[in-house]
Amino acid sequence: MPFKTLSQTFELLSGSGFLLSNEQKAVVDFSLPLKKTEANLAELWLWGKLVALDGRDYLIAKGTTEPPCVFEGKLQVDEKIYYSQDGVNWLDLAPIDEEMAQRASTLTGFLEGNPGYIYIVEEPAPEPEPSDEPEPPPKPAEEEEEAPEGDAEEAEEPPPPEPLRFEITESARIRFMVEVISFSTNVIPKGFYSITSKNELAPNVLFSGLQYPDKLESYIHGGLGAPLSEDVQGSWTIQYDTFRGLATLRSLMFPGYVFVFKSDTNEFDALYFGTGEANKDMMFMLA
Amino acid sequence: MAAEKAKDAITFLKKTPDVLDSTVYDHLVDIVGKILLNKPVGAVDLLETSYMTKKDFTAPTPTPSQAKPLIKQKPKDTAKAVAVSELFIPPQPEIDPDTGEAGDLPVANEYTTENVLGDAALFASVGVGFSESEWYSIMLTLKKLGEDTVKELNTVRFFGKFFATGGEYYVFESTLKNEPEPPPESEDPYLMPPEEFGTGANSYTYWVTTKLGGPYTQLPDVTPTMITQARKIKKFLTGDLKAEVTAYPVFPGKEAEYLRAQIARIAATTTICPGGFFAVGDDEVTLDNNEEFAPLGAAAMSETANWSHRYAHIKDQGRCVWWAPPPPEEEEEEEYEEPTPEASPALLNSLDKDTVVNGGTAWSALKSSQIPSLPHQTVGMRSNLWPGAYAVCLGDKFSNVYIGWGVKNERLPPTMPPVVNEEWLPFTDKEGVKITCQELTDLPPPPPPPEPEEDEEEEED
Repeated sequence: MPFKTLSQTFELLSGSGFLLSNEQKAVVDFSLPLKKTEANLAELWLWGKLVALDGRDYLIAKGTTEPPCVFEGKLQVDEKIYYSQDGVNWLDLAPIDEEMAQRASTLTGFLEGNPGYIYIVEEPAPEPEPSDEPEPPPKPAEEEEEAPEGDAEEAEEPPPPEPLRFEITESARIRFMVEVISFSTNVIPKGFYSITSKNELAPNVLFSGLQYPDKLESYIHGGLGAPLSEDVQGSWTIQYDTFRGLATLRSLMFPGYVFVFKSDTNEFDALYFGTGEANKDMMFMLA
Repeated sequence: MAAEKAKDAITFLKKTPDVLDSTVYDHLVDIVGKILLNKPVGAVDLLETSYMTKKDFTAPTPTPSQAKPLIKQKPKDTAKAVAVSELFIPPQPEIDPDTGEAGDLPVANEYTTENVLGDAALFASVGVGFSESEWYSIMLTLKKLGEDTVKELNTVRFFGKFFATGGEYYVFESTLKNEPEPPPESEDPYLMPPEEFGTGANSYTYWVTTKLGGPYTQLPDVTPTMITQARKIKKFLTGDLKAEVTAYPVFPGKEAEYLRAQIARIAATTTICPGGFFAVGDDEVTLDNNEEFAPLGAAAMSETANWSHRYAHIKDQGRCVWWAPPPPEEEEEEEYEEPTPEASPALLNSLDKDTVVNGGTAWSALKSSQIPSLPHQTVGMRSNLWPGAYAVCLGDKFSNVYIGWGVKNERLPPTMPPVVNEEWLPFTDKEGVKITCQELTDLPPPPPPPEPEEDEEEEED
């Protein structure tokens, strides 16, 4: 799980450019535990920062009430996502359904900085359904030859239907961004978690460290996920400093996501700091 | 039947496995016995780790070799740590071998620089930068570069840190005391020359190192082609200055040249200063300190109009100062038009005229505090065009830094390869018009057939 204190997280992750302002660092040390007690959460940790245009960036925190459990081979996680622009008040990000996620995926550009900002997504309206009335009886052959000349002017196509407009709030877009990035990242050292007899995912007491911390195979997505080596090749950079025993993983698909793992204490942490958008040009940017 | 199955089950449980000394059967007997004896609370939770039997049952403890990673310490990484720690040692005076007395301290180059740790504190207040220990190491790396008597730098500034797929680069911006020899002028007068040392995009010399305290590599001067070609590609850095830049259109150079071009673009676009701090000098090129500058408060500095660009804008052709090829020598004065010089924004123009990026403003203001009435607040500016470029200001102190991947925030679809030439068709002229037989009469007459040789006549016989 994340490091014991946020300052240790920043000490190791700031080499990748992640830092909170002094004021936010000071207040988050208080506000996160407060929110944890207030919302009755078992765990609450800082997930990262999403950049907004007006400078009021969104700090994102994730919390769980109970450990994730494994049911029928799949991980059931009950995660709550909170955001804060000042570091003091953590507000809930409501979950979104698949339709809204589909529409949010079409949005591009920066976040505005106002959670109530409304984005408009236009979708073409569905074609009108064919009517059930029987078609008029076919005209006799003589009239058909003359008909194309005369009827062409009279018959007018109905105007195309107006595209449907859907409103998506910025908080829904933030929720979507966090979910997408978490799905593609959420790196955990392999073997760190194990399934208990209650079918819960808990830290493995007998975790004795990674044998190959400089290889992507040692890291997996989420509790039961696939190893990072099965991701698009080249989308992760990994550096292992043998002297300090520190592995640093950076994502190139979502630049701004950094994961660190310390071999001597077997602790890890990860943070995201960026615009929230995927790097769509990644395949051309790799050597 | 059931009794037989039970017997088979118990036999299976009593099978001795290869590794452990006890069987599953004995293990279960131990556990049930312990539970009934001690009656512990939450016995089910304890079952899973056989915690209770550990006291009597010798479980194999993880050997030290299993607990540590199998990778030995690489000398490269140890060297990194040594390089950083050596930065902190103060210079020792040379000891004269004969007398044993301490001589003078080794001579160091004199240079000027900014207060790196002071700037680090400004950046930290808006949430930008590194940890304190990394800033300290950066400052000492800068000092080591500045004191180098061979390089002879006049001024040094920490430009920023570039992330790469295989490492990272720390970049320092400097001016030199001695002008290097100018490169030989190319013989072709129509070839666009690079800007002279000390002017335009080559106003500064850049040094790069991959580890703090490490050896410094000087990046080459930038040429207009490097900039125009770098604008067409979008690549991650790899961490090796000699690596090829595999891209289309082909980039003229290796990663060192590409990094230098990106640095030139980033510096020209994102190095900013509070408006009014500098004034354009008499020759309209250099900037002088403005004595009438009055620092503004935090609220005013949050407006982009109160900042201005520090470095000259790089035109589309890749230079800061327009260059046009000389007119052709032949007498075609009527057809020759002088190309119109590309316009550039004036020196020190303010930021609010920067074009929008992705539907948003080019710069975002960062505040050190959300409490408006707090005095002595610092204001930061973050570039949305080059993510990772920051500037910060408090009163009359300001600083710039870049921490990022060296990539511009724009979608750059790859350039399509040129259209394949059509194959030459025989019997067509330049415009593809088929040549008729009448025109073929211009050709010379075909050669006469070769006369039969005497050898063949002999063979026929």
